Amino acid sequence: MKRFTVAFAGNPNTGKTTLFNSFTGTHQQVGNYPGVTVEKRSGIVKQGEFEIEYVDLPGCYSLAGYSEDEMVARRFLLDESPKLVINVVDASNLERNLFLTTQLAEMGMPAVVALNMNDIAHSRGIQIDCQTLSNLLGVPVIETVARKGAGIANLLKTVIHSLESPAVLRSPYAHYSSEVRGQLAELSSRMSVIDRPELAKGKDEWIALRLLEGDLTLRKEIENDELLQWVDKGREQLRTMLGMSPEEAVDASRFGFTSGLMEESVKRDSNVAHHISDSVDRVLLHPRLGLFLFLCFMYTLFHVTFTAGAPLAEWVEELIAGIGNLVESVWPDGKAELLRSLIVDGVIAGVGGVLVFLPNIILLFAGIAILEDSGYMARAAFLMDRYMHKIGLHGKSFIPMLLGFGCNVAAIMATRTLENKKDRILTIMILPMMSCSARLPVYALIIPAFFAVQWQGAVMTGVYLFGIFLAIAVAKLLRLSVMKGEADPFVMELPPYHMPTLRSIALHSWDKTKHFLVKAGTLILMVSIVLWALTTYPRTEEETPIDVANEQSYAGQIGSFLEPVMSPLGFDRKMSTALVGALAAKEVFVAQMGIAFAVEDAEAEAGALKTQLRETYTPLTGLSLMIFLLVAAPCVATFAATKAETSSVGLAAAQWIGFTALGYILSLLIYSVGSFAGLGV
Amino acid sequence: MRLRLKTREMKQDTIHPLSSAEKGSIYEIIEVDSGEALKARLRAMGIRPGAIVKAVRISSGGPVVLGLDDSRMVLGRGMVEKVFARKVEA
Repeated sequence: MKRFTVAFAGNPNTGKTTLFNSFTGTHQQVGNYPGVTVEKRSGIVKQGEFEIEYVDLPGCYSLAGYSEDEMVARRFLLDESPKLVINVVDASNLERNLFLTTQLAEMGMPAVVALNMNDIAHSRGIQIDCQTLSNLLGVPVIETVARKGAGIANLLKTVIHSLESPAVLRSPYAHYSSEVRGQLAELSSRMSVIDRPELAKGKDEWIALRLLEGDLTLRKEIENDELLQWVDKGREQLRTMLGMSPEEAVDASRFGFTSGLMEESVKRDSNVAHHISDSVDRVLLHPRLGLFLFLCFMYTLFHVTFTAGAPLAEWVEELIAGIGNLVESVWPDGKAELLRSLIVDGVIAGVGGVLVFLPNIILLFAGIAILEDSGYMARAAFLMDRYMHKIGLHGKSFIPMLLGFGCNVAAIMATRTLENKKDRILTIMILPMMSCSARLPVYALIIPAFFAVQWQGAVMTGVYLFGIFLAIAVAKLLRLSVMKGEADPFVMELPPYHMPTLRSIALHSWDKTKHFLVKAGTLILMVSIVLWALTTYPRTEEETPIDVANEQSYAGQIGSFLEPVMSPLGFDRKMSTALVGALAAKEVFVAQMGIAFAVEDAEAEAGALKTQLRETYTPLTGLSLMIFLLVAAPCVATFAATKAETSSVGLAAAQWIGFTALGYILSLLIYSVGSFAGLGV
Repeated sequence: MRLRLKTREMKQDTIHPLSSAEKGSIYEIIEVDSGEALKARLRAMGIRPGAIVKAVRISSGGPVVLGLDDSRMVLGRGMVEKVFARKVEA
């Protein structure tokens, strides 16, 4: 069987990922591109006699490499040389999309062009002659409407056919201005001095062009002073001849080419139809009304996550309790008691305790997927820009912050859309304050245990808002102290609104939920077993009272050791031990509390953790605990992501220590003030 | 020299930064006054001299939404002050 790589390339918001999804379905894998944390989405599918690996490159407007996304796409195209590129272009913004196509043509890429959303272009009075466009580009042009699944079969057929006999995008150089062409010819002829043949192979003209444009990455790679001197001379000549920067001169040539393509293949009616998204935006982007609606959406998201998730979570809880009871009833007393305890009190109480919150997590991820797919996420960034600007952040910082409610690690990765390094680091630093879904199990355990039903939604929203408030305060503080300066100018595309499809919501939320399940099956399972062992060992005499045995266990010893430090916050020995477990992942706290109570109180009904908590602790302790788990000790994965994205252990450590200290102080304040006021005594 | 020219033209109320654009009017971009990298990034997104844009949403002190062909671009306040344009039609 022949194995090929096929890459999807295109501007953001062209429906590229929708097409990729319909090509790969559930055969998707999410990984990273080597060396960077940009997410790599790929999927291997068998089609006829081929095994094809489809790769969804990050959406970008250009291959110049100004952002990490652009750099990744370019690297992949050059280094992996895919057998075919599916260049997805948005028919209703064809000219801008063809700019990227032109750059692909400069690289001599074998391609198929998917002309997507031609139905919308049609309704706007834009008529595109696919045959002419195909003749001009030298590759097949296939009409698709990815959202409706139209043209997919035809595109697939063309892709398969092209894998057998690929057509290469026609070289655009002949259409470039004579000045640019002159310099290109001059430089290409000197390309032989480069001592890295694999870099230059067949791409002389492309390299010459990029060098003329002042490409820094390529300059570093070439390391040939003689050639670079010629480059500088060429750039200087272009500047004097054309009276503009060489970058502008080369782009002007590209625009000349794309406008030529447009002229030949596109007819447009002069009257531009009314934009439906604009009418919706009149309301949703309204400075006051829009902001109010935004807050309503957020409240609804959390409310639904919590209330609609509750009955489902209860159902899962009963299921897990049932499994625990079943094991206990079929496993005769006295036989391999330790193993029985490991399974019932360790694995089922620990991992099961976390799995209970699966429904809440699926709902949260589905909600975030709807916000993303509908196009609302970008509006949220727009609404927040002026406020973000005031606290020294970028409007675009808001999207990672919103994603942070799902997972801080994913959010940290999403900061790559911020081009400015300082903006990016600042955003990363405050992201752990966004209450991620791993903290949800903790809230979902504590809130119903201590607060009346009518207050639960409000307390939950309050905790999330408090996190946002802290993020803002910390950002402001950092901007005023160590990270002085202004945020980078804000430029972003607002995608048109559309109805999110069930399929894409399911795909997106499944993707993230899978991550949660894998974590429960690996990290949390492991930590649960360790914590169970710490709680069970060293073994004591049968007759030893259970509380003494617990105190003597390793967990008890760790807890006792920490207790003096933690008791001012209202935490006892059990909680202190569980907090140690939570260093690995926040939801382990729930697992460990489950284990601690299960081991201690073997008689109690499985799944009675909420009742046990209510009997043991006060609401004030609950509140102090939630704040501590929100603020202190970002999880191990967050630490690793911060380190990777900022390439600095120091920053990751500063983040960890800073928030741990802050969390301690806040919980201390809450508990002491609360106790003083006589609350929760 | 170029800057002086710009001020003169602005006095004639032909070329002005997009921050003073009127909602619903259509403009031709004349110049983007920023560093090379940002200029190139904007070019690739379609915000370049010669481009015809519509001021779709203006908010005082906040970002501005421009319509380019069928897409909508948000430009932050600091950015629109650097994009100079001439009104084509109201």
